[in-house]
Amino acid sequence: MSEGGIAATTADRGSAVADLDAFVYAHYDRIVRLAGLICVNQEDAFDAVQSALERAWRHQESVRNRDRLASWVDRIVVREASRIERRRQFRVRFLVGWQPVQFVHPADQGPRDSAFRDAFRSLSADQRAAIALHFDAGYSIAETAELTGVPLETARSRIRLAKAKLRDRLDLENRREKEGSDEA
Amino acid sequence: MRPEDDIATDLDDDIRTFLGHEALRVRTGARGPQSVIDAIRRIHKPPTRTTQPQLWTGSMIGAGLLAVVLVLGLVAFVLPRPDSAGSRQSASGSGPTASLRASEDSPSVCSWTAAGSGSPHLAPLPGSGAVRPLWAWQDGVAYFEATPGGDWQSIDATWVAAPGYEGRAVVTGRRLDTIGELRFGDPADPMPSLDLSAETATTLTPDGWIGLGHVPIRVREPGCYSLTVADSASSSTITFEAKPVADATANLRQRTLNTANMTTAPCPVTKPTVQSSFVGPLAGGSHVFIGGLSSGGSLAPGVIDPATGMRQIRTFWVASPIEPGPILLRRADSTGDLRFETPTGATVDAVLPIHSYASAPGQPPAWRQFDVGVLVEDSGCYAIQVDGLNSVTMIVFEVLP
Repeated sequence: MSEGGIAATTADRGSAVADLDAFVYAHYDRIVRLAGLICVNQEDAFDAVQSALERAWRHQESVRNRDRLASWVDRIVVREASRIERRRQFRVRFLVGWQPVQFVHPADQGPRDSAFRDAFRSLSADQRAAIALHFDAGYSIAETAELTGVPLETARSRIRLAKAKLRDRLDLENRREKEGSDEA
Repeated sequence: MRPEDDIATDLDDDIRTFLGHEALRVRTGARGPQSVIDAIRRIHKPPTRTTQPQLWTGSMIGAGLLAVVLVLGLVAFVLPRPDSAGSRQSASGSGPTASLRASEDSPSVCSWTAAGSGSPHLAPLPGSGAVRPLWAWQDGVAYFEATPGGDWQSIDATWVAAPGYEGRAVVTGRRLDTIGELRFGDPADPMPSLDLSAETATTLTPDGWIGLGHVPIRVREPGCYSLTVADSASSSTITFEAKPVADATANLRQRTLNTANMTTAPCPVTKPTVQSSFVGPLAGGSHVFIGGLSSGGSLAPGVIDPATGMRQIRTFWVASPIEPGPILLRRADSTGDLRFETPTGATVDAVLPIHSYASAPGQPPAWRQFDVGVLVEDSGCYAIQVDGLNSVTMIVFEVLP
């Protein structure tokens, strides 16, 4: 990742106002991945992607530095996905006995992924956004702070706490597995 | 990436590996970019690129546009406008999604889901999934109405399941024709998904269909929407068009009113055919009934209403789960004077809304009750035509002297 933000794609450099198809294709895969990591529900992720792309395309002229267009779009999708996810979490908390139906996806890589996913989903939306931006999208902590609109120390703290929580959950899972195999 | 030594741990590589797998999982199920492009294209014209325009050019374009707008406005003012409440609502809607509304020339094709097999004791149900909504629905259109407490419109729905259903289901929804949301429950802050369980279900029909709950679907405006109902065994999708209830009542008003001369004796009263456990005898067809009658089908003379000078008679109306939509009541006899007591005063016809706020102890789920009295000029024989989405009924009663 560059210091000044993500390098612009070819489509971004093309013109001041990219045409819609090029604009969507240039950003789609990246932000589907980002929104999908922040949102627990895939439908919510797609809502965030659609809404963010529409807004970004409508206001793209406000970005003067075209080299920063991609990170600007990322910022919009992070904000949108976090908003949707916070709303979902709030609701889920107040639904007595709510248990989402679990589906096993063919892309699952085994029990380790399943345990990791449970741990990852136990993080807050803000923590998932910070982890996704830093570890998957490759942004520095300073850039992550900028994209999520929080001070540097807050972003650092979110990542640190998220990792601690992930470790705790995974350790707990490992202990359970070990106890299960010992009993067997 | 810059080294972040102070928070780097041995977990970092595991996190990156997991995120890589997870991203693949997310991407596998996502829709393609073309669906986003189509949605955006329907609601926006691409912005016109203007590279350093000359001042006079901009002024000329602005003046031209202004002239066009003025002419169009004048034409729109002079031409007669459709007087449909639905079109008014569509045109004047506001809120955060107003700017996302599809343009007028966008295609309004909605590939709605047809009715599947159901129960003769229920209105037609869309699709063939195990869990489906029982709602005000006809020819692929589900009708919504405003409810107090928030600006999300309500598609009143009782969630029903086929006999023997024992699972739990999660319902989600989305708008298909443009960017928009579909939610559930609260009118001000509705839920993005709905969790239904057969554990708390009640039996709804004699043939074993069960009611899982009564939770409205919430939308902001008319459009094409879909519902996805998923349980541990299967998943089904219901596509429908949402329209304001005013559109449905406008359609009901266009139906022929079958008037009859009720002066011939004896009065051909509609005898009460249903002895309900919750409101007593009911007269009507099999879908919508009038209550408050004697066992012989007559009404007590009532009291004189000082405002109208007419006899004020307490009646109420009951709709079975076969008629979950709006109901239009119209005087059908060509003699005598009959009005309905509605919140807006004495009217020659009355519309029963979709959602009922009245009920009686022991009233079965999905049945609805409305307190709408009648005003008559004098004793005599009267007829009312009852139009619902799924039926037309003529009810004749006699007001005793």
